[in-house]
Amino acid sequence: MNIATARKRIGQVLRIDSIDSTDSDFLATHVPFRKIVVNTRSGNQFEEANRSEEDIYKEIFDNAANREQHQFVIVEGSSGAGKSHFIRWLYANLINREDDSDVVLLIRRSDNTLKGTIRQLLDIKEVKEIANIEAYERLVKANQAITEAKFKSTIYHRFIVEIENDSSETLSSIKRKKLIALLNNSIFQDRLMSAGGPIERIYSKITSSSTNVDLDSIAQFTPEDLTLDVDFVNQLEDADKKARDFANSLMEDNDNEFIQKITDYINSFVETVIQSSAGIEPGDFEQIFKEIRRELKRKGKGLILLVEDITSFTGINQALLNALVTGHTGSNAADNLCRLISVVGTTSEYYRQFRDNYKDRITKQITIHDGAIGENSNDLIQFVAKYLNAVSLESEVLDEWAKNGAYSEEMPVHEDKTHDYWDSFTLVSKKKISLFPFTKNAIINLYSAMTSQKTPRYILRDIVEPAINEVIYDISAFPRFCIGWRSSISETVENRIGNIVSSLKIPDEAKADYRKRLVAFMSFWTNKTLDVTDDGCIGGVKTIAFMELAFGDFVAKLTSTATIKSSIKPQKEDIATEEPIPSVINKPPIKPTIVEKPLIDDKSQKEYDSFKENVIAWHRDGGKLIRFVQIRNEISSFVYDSINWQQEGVPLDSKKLFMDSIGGRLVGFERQDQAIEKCIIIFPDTDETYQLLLCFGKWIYLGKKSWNFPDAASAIYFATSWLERNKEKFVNVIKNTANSAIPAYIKAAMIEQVYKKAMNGTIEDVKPNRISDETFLSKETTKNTLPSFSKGHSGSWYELNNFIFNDSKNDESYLSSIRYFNLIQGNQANSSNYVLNYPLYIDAIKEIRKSDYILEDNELNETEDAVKDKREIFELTLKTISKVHKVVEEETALARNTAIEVLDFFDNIDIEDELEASDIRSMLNDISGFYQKAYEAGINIGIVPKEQIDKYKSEAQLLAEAMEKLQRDYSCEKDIAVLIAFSSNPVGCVLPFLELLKKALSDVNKANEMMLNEKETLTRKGSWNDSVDPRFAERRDGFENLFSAFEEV
Amino acid sequence: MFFSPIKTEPIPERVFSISKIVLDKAPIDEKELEHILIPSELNTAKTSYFRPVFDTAVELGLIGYDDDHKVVFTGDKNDIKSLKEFRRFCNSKVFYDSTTDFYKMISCFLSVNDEWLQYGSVTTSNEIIRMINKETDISSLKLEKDVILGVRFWINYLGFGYFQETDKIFLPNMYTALKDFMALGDFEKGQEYSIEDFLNNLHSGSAVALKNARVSQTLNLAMSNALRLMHDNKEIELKIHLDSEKTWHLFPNEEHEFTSDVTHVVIKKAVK
Repeated sequence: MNIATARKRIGQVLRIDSIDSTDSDFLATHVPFRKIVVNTRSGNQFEEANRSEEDIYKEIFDNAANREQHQFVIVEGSSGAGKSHFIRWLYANLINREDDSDVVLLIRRSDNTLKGTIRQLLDIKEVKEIANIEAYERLVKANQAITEAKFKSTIYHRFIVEIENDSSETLSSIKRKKLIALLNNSIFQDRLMSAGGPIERIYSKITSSSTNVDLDSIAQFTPEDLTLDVDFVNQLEDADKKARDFANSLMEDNDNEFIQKITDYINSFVETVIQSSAGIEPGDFEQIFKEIRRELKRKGKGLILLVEDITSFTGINQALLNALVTGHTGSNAADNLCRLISVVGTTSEYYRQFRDNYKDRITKQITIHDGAIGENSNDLIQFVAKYLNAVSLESEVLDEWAKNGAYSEEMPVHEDKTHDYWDSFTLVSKKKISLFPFTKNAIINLYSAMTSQKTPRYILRDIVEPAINEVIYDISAFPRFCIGWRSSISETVENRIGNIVSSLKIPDEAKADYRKRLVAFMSFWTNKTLDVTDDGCIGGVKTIAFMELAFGDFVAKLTSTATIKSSIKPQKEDIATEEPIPSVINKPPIKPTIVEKPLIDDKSQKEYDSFKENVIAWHRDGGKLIRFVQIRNEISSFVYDSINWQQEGVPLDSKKLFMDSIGGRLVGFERQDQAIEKCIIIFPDTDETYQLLLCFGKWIYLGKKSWNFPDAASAIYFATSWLERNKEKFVNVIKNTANSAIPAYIKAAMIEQVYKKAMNGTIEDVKPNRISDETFLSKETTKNTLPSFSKGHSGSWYELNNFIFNDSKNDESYLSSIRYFNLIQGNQANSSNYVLNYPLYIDAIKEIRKSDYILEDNELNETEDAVKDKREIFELTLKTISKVHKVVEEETALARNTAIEVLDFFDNIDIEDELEASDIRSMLNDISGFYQKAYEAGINIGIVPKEQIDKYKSEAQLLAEAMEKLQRDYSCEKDIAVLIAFSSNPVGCVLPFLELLKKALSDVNKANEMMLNEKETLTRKGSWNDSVDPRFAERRDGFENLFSAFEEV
Repeated sequence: MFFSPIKTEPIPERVFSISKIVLDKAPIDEKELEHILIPSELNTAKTSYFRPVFDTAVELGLIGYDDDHKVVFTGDKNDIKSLKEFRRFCNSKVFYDSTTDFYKMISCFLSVNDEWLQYGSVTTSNEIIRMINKETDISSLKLEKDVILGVRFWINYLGFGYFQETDKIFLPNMYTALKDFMALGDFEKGQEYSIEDFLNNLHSGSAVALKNARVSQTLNLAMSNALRLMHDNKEIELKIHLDSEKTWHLFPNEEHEFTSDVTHVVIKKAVK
C-alpha cells in the first residue's frame, strides 16, 4: 500500500455508497458477481436460474427479442448486499456502449428526496423542451425556506388531518377518534417527533439526502414506535380519557396484532402526507413522468431507467412504480409513450410490501443474496485486494485506465515493494496486489467473524476501512479495530500468548493492550498456531510482518524458546478466475495442535462454551461478569482446600470459622454483576484472572469437578502457580493478624480467660506480666461458690463475675483459644487429640502480657468483624473490660475503709504504716487476757474461746498480708493488677478479724460498765468508803480471824 | 517416619513444636515434655501422639537424651527458627537414602506426572494404590491405612505440590522444594547453567524428583512446573541455545512460553 496516496484516497475509494465513487474507482474495485439468482417471467410462471452479471446484462439490454419490449426488472437483496453495486455496473456498461437510441438515466440514491428525484428527471437534456417544465421546476423549488421544526410539525398534523378525514372504515369510528385524541396529546406528539422517531425518518426522506449509514431504512411507522411501556402511559395521567384508553391498548405485552394493525393503518397515509407536505398534488409525478416519456418518443428514443433503490423514494413509491409498469403498447399506445426498460433496486423487506400488487407486471426478479461475495474465498480476497490497490493509486492513473476502456488485463496495480513479505493476490494479468495490511487468512477469518451483515458495504465499513486507517495513522495500534471480535483461536494458544507477553520486558501497564492486539492478530491473520517455521514465519506469517506491527519483543521471545518446524508450502496460489473456486470460508484453516485425550461429551462442552462466552464478554468487552457464583465458590473451595493452613501459621480452627462465615465470598471479581462489596479479595479484570476463570471453568464443566479433562496438566500448572502467587494474600486475610502473632479475637479470648480467673478468685497472685503459661490453657469451669469467696468483695465485683459466667459466649471464648493452638492433622477440626502449637502459643502469651490485658475497639478489623463468632468473642471481652474500672474503684474504696476500721484498734499505726503479724498477735494476746480475766471475774459477757483467738494468731501472717493489700496505694496501678491483688479476697480475709476486734471492744466496754454499776450500788448502800471496796476489809477480817484460830490450834 | 515406617501422627508442625519446646526447656524430663506438648486436661483421646512425634524429631537429629536421660536439643537452633527454615532443613535431611519408604513414596508421587488425575482420590483409588504398591513394594494395606495419609502432609509441606485435602488430589508443582534444593546447592546469581549442570548443582536430595530424568533428559511435571513458575516469576530464566549439545524436555505445556524444549537456566535472583 502506498501510505501517502492512501491518506488522500481512502475517503474517495471507500465511500460506502458505491454510487458516490468515481467511475474509475468503481471499475477498479469491481469484482464480478458470479452467482445471481434470476427469476424470469415465462407466461404466468417465473423460472429460476443462476446467472453471472454478464449474462443478465446481455439478457436485458442486448437481447434482440427483448429490445423493444417494456421491461420492469426488480433487483432485491438485503441492505448492502450489492444491489447498488450491480446496478451501477449495469449503468457503467450501458453508458460505455456505442448505442444512442436510448436515454440512460440512473436515479441516484444520493439525491433520493422526492424533489431531488423529480429534478433528476427534469435534468435529462432530451426533455428540456417538455410542456410545463417551468411550472414543474417551480414545484421543485417550493417550500425550501421552511424550518425543520415547522416542517416536521406540518407532517405530524397532516397525519391527523388524513385520519380525521378517512372514510375507509379500516378503523371503527370510535377507535379512530381515540387515536386522534392520542395523536393530539402533546406528550405523545413529542415521543413520535423525537430524534430517530418516525416523523424524523419521514422528514429526512422529503427534504435532504440521508447521512445515515443505513440508507435502506424505510420512512414509515414501525410497531416499536407505537408500543408504549408502563412508564410512558403513567405520564398520560392528565390526558384526555380517550387518549388514555387508546394508549392502554398500545401497551407492551398487549395485543401485538392490534399494534401492527394501527401501524399499517397510519402507514397507509405516509405517501399522501409526504406528497402534500412537499406541496405536490396526487398525480403530479405520474404526469411529469408521462410528459418525459412522450417527449422522448417524439425524439425517437427509448428510456432506460436505473433506480438504485426505490425504498428511498418514499412519497412517490406508488407513483413511481405505477409509472414504471406502464407500458407503451396496447391500451397505452394512444399516450405515445417511449419504450421503458427499468431496473429497480429494493430491499427484500420493502419488496415484500409491494410485490403482490405488481407481481403480474414484473419481467424479472434478480436476487442478490447476503454473502454473495464471501461465498467464494477467492472473490472475497480479490474484492479486498482491489480496494487496497485502488486506494494506493492516484485517481488520475485509474481515470486514464477507465478512459482507455477499463480492460481488466490493463488495470494498473500498485507495486508495494516495502511490504513484499505480506500476502499478495495475483490477478489474471499475473500482476500481484499486496494484501498489506491483511493476509488471506485475515480476510477470510475477519469475514467469518463479522457480526454485521456479510455484505460488501459492511466488509468495507467494518474491515477494510478501519484497517487501512489504522496503518495509515498509527500502525502500532493495529489491529485495534477487531480486538473485541470473536475468533476461534484455541485457548492453549491464547494462554501461551498471554504468558509470553507477561514475561516481556515492556511496561506492565502496556501489557494488556499488547496482548489484546497480539491475540487479535494471531486469531485472524495467522493460521492460529504459534508454530515457528524454517521459512521465517510464525503461524504462517513472516516474522518481519510482526516486527512491523511492533511485536518485536514477542517474536524475539517466541523464537528463542520455540522449536523450529519445517514449513509447509501452500498447495496452490490464489488467482483471479472466472470460475468459482470452492469455498474455504467457515472451515477452520488449521486443526488444533493439541491431541485431546479424554472425550468430552457435547453437553459438557456446550456448558463450558457458554460459560466461556460470559467470561470473554467480561474480559474483552468490559461487560459485567454474569453467572459467576458457582465458579467463585469453586475457586474459593480450591483455596480453602489446597493451602495447608497450619503450615502457613493459620490454625485450622481460625480457617474453619472464616470459611463457615465467608464461604465462597473469599474471592470476587471486578465487575461481577452483584454483591462485590461482600467479597474479601477482589481479583481485577486481568489476563491472569481471565485464565483463572477458564481454568476452573474447565474443572467444573469439562472435568465435572475433577482434573480429568484434556490438557489438565497445563491447567494444574496455572492453578498451582496462581495459588503460589496469591497464597500470601489468602493466608494474611484468614490469619488476620497484621503485625501480631494472633488475631484480635484470640487475643480477646485469652485476655478474657485472665479476667475470668481473676474475678472468680482463682488467679495466682503475681504481677500481670508474670501470669503463668498454664493460666490460658486450663478451663475455669464454674463460678466460685466457696464461702471464702462469697463474702468480702464489693457488689460490682460479684456483678461482673456473674456477667462473665452468664454470657453465652463464655465457653466458646475459651474453646476458641484452645482450638487455636491445637495442631490438627488433616481437616479434623474437632479432634479429641490435642497437641500444643508451642511456638505460636508462646508468641501469643508474650503478646498478651505486653498488651496489659487491654483491647481497643478498633483491633477487630473488618474481615474478622464479619465473622459472627469472632465478633461475639471479641465483644464479650470488650464488655468485660469496660466494667472492670468500676469494680476496681469500688473494691479499693471498700479495702481502704476496712483497713482504717482495723487500724483504729491499733494505737500509733496509721494507714501508711505496716501492720505486722506481731502487732496482730499482740492484740490477740490482749484480747485473750481480757477474756480470761473476765471469765475469772465471772463477768457476764460472751467469752470468745481461747482456741478461736489462737486460730487468728496462727493466721496473723496472712492477716498482715491481707492488710497490706488493703492499705496499699493503688492509684498508680493498672486495673488488671488491682483485680489480681484482690482476686484472693483480702477484705474477706480480714473481715472475721475485724469482727473479733469489734466484739472484744464491745465486751471490754460492757465489763467496764458492769464494774461501775456494782460500785455505784455499794456506794449507795454506804458500804463503800474512801474509795475502797468495803468487801475487802470484811474479807481481810474474816481471813485474819481464821488465821488466828489456826495458830491457836 | 523418614527412615522407619511412615505414620500419620508426626505431621511437620508437631515435630517442629516439640523441637521448639525442647530448645526452650532442655534439659527436660520426658514426662514434663509430654505434658507441655500434649496437656493432659485438653487431650481427651485415649491415645497420645507423643511417641511418634518425639521419635520423628529424634530421627531428624533435633532432640535426644543426655546422660541423665533428660531430653536435650541436639540440632542447630537456626534450623528451627521458623517453619520455613525447618522445611529446608528437612529437605536437606530426608532424601539421602533412596531405599526408605518415604523416599520411594515421594519419588513415586512425582514420577507419575499427570497420570493419576483421572483416578481421583489418591487415598482411595484402587488403581493408584496398585500402582504405588508396584512401584514401592509397600503393602496395599499399609498404603491405605497410614502411608499415603501420612505422606500427604509432608509432600505438601516439603514443597512438592499442593494437596486438595477434601478430594485427596495431588497437584504436582515443586516450586518450593526446588528453591530449597537450589538454596542448599551451589549456585551463583547471574550465572548461566546447562540443565545438566543445573541439576548437578542442586542439593543431592533433589534426586527424589529426578527419577529417570537424566536418561531421558526429560523432567517430570512437578519439576517442569517449578522451573516454569520460577521463570515466570523472573527468579530464573529458561533458555534454548540452538547449538546446545543437549536439549532437555519439560513436561509439555502448550500454553507456556516454554512448551517443552529447554537447554539452559540463568539464575536471576539469589535464592534465599
